[in-house]
Amino acid sequence: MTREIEAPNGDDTGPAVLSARDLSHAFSAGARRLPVIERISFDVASESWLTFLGPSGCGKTTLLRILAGLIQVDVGTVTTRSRLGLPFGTAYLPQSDTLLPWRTALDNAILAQEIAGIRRSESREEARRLFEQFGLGGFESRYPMQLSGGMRQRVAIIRTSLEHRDILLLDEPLGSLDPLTRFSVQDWLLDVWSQLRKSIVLVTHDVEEALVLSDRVHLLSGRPATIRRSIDVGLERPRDRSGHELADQKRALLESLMGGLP
Amino acid sequence: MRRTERGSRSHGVAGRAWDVFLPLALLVLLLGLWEGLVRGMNVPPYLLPPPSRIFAGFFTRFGFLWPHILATLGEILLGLAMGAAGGFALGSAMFYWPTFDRAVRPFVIASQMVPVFAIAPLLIVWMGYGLWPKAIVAALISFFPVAVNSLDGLRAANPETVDLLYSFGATEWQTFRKLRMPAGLPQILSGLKIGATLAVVGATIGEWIGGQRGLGYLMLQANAQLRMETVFASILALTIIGLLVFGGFRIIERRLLRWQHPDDLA
Repeated sequence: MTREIEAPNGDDTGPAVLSARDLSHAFSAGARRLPVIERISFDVASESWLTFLGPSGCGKTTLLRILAGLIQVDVGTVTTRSRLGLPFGTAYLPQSDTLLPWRTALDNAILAQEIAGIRRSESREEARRLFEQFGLGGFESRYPMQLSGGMRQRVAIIRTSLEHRDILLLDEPLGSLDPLTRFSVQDWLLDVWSQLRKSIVLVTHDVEEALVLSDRVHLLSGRPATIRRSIDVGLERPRDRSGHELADQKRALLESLMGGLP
Repeated sequence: MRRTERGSRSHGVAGRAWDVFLPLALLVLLLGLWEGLVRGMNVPPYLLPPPSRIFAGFFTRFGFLWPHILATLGEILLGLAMGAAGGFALGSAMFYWPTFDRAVRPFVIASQMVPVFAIAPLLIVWMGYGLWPKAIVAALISFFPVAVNSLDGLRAANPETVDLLYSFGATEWQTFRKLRMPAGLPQILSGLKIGATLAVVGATIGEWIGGQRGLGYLMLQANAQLRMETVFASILALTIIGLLVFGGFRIIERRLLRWQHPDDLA
């Protein structure tokens, strides 16, 4: 089932909506340069799910922030292509809880549109439809502190998808959730992804999460991050978390992960 | 999905009634003690009048007090408005302009080391005996907590949320209005409440140094003539003014920060 591919790769099935070539980035710490990312290249195929899997602190977040345009990368290029009918570009969801506590769930969801100058009534209408469609109906006027962690992340993800960008960049969106909530939000996220027909770039350190969700997984080395191995998961969705195909791939990935450690 | 734990604050009607009853009971107890001691020990009223005479004097001579109350209230409100606006502007400028922050920070701190009592006579010399010098003294001591709390409040926003707004394409102004300002509001309002109480002190000091009306002026005159009831009536009036201004900010705070207690909305 697993198809090993050369990383960096260029061949792909669908047209790439995002191509990153030879990204290298370093932070300056005083006089020293601290390399965080080294020569990373990849493509994001249209409507596909790409996951970066790596140890904590390996530079995953830096990579996403580069894709989001929040960091000017030192070396390399990121190009995005527009698909018909969707504005090109990326929508970024940071790792920490970024809902505004003084806004209701619905008004949090429309924040991006409000900044873009779209009329509130119009964007609220659309957000309400998405809330209904994805099981958040009835929570519109709740404040974030009245919502569970899982619900808060769902609202944040709806907010990100309401940016109407082709590609969602999700930085460990489920990292703070307990395992059971995590499973249900994973399934929910798959539902959102398949219905909204977006591309997702996910960053996680959870091997199983990567395998349950993704089309393709890029395994990152420790700092400075390079793509050490790439696999296409190639299993039908929904995937069986306890199935043996997933277990085989999990073992292979874990071995690669551990192999890089001293 | 609703979170139940709510911290240790007491809520509900019973809790709030208790919050009013307990201090009121303490007040009655203390006033009773005062009344009893003064009467029991035959303290002459020109040294310390009993509370009953103070309250009686306050209400019978209210017509006489009223213009002084209005004068002092005007000085407090004008001074607080200037101090709050100046403090917020200064705090915001220090937040957005690091070079300015570095340049003025020592002076802002030093300004609090200069005793207000030393500045007030100068202001009287420069500006006469009217409303302005008192309002300026009130402004000078109330701007500091507003400036410090505005600066800290504007820093309170989560940096990742700031990044998020930038990724939405937000301008600096939008980031200020939609994120930094509401995120800092609890702290800015705390600064305003402290500033409000200081403005009362400032206006009174201004009146002590020089003036022809106001509760501070009245207090000083009455004190010199051993009219203790008027001294205490003025203190009572100042206390009530202070409580009203502070209470006004509490009401504004509760309205603006309703989201902090969403379960109270119902």
